[in-house]
Amino acid sequence: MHVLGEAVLVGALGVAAGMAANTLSDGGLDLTRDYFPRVAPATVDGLPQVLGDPTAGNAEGGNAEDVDPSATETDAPDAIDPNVAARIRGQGLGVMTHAEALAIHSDPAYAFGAFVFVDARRVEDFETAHIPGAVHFDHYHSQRHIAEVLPVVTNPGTLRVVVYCIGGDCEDSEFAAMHLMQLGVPPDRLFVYVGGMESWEAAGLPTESVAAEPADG
Amino acid sequence: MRSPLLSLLARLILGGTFVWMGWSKVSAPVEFLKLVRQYEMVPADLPWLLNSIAVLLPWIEIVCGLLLVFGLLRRGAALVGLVMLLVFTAAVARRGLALAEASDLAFCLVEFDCGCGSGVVNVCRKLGENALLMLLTLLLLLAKPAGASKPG
Repeated sequence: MHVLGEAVLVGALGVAAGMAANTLSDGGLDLTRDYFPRVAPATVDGLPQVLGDPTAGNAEGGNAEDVDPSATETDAPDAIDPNVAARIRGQGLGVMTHAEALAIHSDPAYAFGAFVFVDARRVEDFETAHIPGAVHFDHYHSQRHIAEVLPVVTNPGTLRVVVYCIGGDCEDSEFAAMHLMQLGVPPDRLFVYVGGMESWEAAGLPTESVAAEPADG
Repeated sequence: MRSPLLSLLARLILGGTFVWMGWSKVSAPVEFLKLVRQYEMVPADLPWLLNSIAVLLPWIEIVCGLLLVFGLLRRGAALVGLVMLLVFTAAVARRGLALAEASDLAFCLVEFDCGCGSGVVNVCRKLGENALLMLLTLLLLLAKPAGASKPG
């Protein structure tokens, strides 16, 4: 057989194997889905929302106690890159600093579901350690989590949904938040905790692991 | 390539490398998808293309590698391997240049996870490895087809 014919056959075999494996695999990708949703970029001036006092907001006016975003993000020890903050806001999401995330977690209303942390990391990361009370939403395999997560984050009593991932350059929290928005979660309650798990653990804050959670019943 | 032993060695090295690189990607498809996206070679409005590359490329590598190891369709597999290596090398060099510029580092000091299946690598070392693998594919391509050396 001519070498080009052989090459075409090799490529076809590879494509067939890939399609079959992706179809049969539990962790296969949806070929048509956009896993990295973005909306048109917006400037800082066009802020969809600015996080105010995290303990005093509400679902409709969660940004009522306006805080100057530059002051919030650059004066704090856990300063957020202004470009990252602008990018997140450009998606219609709120930006949450470490101090604000901690305040929400410490708020008595957290125990009653007023605030929800959503962990957008891989399942093994979530099982090892996550923010106490967080729910898991790996948006790359969202079908596994929707039944559990959606009722929580769309509950009318939930004022703010705080999505986080590893921290640093991790963008999964943004994509997970965008996916939740597409699933019907009101944008004004969606926030990205930019520092993520790295900031949480670096501050020596408590974590929870799946193994440590009491079994049902 | 005149020596059957050298040909066998080239096939085993190439084939084994392709199978290993492909399998490491197949075992973590989401991570590979993210790495492919970082190359910014696929327009954001064509998610199906990005997803297809992430799903199919590792399996083309695995099939290519297995065929080389077992000596089946070996020239075709070598050609496919060469084309893949050319694309990978160009992509790695392009990203290495971008990272060098962004971090103000010398090109050969740049290290990143190229999505090649071996984790974080030094860009120059990776390009050197790819050059050697391309040389092996060329040797296999230029080798006489099986049986051609015994006319009549």
